[in-house]
Amino acid sequence: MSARILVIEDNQANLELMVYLLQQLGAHQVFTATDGVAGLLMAKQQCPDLIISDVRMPNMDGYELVQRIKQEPALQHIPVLAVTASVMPEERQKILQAGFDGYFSKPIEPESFVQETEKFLVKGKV
Amino acid sequence: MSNDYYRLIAETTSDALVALSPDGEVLQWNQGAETTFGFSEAESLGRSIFELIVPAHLLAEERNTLLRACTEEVSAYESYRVRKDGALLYLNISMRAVHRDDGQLAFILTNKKDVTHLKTRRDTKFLEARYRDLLDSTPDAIVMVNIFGRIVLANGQAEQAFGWSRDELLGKAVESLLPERYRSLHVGHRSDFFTSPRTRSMGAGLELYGVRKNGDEFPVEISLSPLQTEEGILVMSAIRDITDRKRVELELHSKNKELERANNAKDSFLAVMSHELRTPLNAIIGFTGTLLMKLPGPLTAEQEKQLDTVQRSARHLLALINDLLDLAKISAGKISVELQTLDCRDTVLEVLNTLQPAADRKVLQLSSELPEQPLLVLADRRALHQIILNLMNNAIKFTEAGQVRITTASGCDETGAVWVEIRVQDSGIGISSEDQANLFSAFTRLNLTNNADKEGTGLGLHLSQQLAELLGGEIHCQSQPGVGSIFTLRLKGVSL
Repeated sequence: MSARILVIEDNQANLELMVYLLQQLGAHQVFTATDGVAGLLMAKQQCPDLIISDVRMPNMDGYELVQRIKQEPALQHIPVLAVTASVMPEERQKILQAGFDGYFSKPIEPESFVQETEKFLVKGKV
Repeated sequence: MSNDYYRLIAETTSDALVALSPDGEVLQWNQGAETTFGFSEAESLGRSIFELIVPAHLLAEERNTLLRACTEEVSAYESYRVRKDGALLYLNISMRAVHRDDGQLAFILTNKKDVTHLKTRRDTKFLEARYRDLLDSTPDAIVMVNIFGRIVLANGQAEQAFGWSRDELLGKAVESLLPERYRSLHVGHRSDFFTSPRTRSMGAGLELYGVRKNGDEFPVEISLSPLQTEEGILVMSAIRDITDRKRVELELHSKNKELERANNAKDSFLAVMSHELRTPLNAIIGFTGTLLMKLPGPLTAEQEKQLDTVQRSARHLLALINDLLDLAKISAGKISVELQTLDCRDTVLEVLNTLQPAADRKVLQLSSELPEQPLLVLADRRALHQIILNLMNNAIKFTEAGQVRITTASGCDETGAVWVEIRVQDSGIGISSEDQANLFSAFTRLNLTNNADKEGTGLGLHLSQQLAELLGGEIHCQSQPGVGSIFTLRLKGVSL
């Protein structure tokens, strides 16, 4: 069940980690972008099955990105997951209100990250 | 004496000489009257004297006096008159009826001498004698003003506040103690006050200023009260120099701003810390994880052991960061607990489920004894979970063999308030009584010989105690080295 997944993250090491896990454990096809603007462009070009995005990013943050995606008729069906380093409960609330379908807290758990991600792939297809 | 002779006297005297008909019509109005009252002869002739210069409250009295003057000479009484510009005057007045040769009443001649300044001096003497000692003993500057707006008494504090000597102050118009720009307005306020005298603070809500002899202005607070005396009504104003208070207020204000800025800086620091410190840990823990999962390839036993150490240390660092952030948030008042009625049995069972694997790894028996009925407490869900998790975690960590057991109790205190206790009991190494004293302080790590697998942040109990206090509860500990410990979380209960 290989999927096309877009990962948007400005921290290179964390981007590498997620890409590696998704490729190694899920054999997914992964696209990347390192800020919100590039991420939105990539989403429009590739129309991926799922998007994983950092929240704090240069140019366009995750909140704005998810709002734009959910406004695009061609993209709004795509599940968008946030990856956040914040532990503040207010921020988690804000993430769900902004339109994200779910979120991961950093540090992500390498053992369960791919499995958790794939749950949303199934949901997205239903 | 000839009419000319009379005329000469009338023209040279500075007194106001006014001839009146018995009903008060002005028949003659000399130069002195023009000067004293401000009305010209043309303005006055034919007018009623009562309309012209008699204050409203004295009308009836003055009509009577005039009537009396028709039959007898009225000599030297003192009374108030109003000048054309509204200023009040104090006059020495005498009246005499003048008859024609046939014995008929011709007119009533009134002679009025302006003694306002004498009256002020008299008020001063009278007040000095009566009130000076009293007023010198008050902390405020006190200035008494008569109806003419002249200062008739000033205490020592007033001398100090305004820089004028007492002798200089006495007789001075009270307006000279105000900055120039307020003076003309004040004259009006002053006459209003005499019209309806009552104790009040002056210019409530306004910033008032006094001015010193050297021209310096200073902020003041003034309260006014009328003082009825046999010499007429006086106004006592208590004046407080609030320069110091204003300065303190200003300092407080800027201090508050500073604190607010510092607090905001702290908040954003917390948010940034949370983000910046956790971001690199994500890659460290993540890639250590992938290596340990052997995704890139097989590991030697030694490599695996070392990577385990890396991962454990990274997780320790993460726990430390999380605890520190929580503590910082508590001390910044940033943790808002949402007190609600919770069944604490649910929370206990959740924690037991979470920690069962850890207990299994150490072959410890994890058990609970919970009531069959809901056990309601007033608490914040997240905080309660964190405290119980922490206590249970510690119990498992410091117990090598035997069991960790969680029980509850509830009851009423002497005021009828319901309490609930959650007790975590272990058969671990126990805590010496010396160590128990510092148990809840930050960064307390017990001196243990074999603590390789007991890494903690030293913040857990401190944080738990702080959280318990936020919930209006507390944690206490009973322990015996070698036998085990009981940690008890006591919370406010809710009766069913």
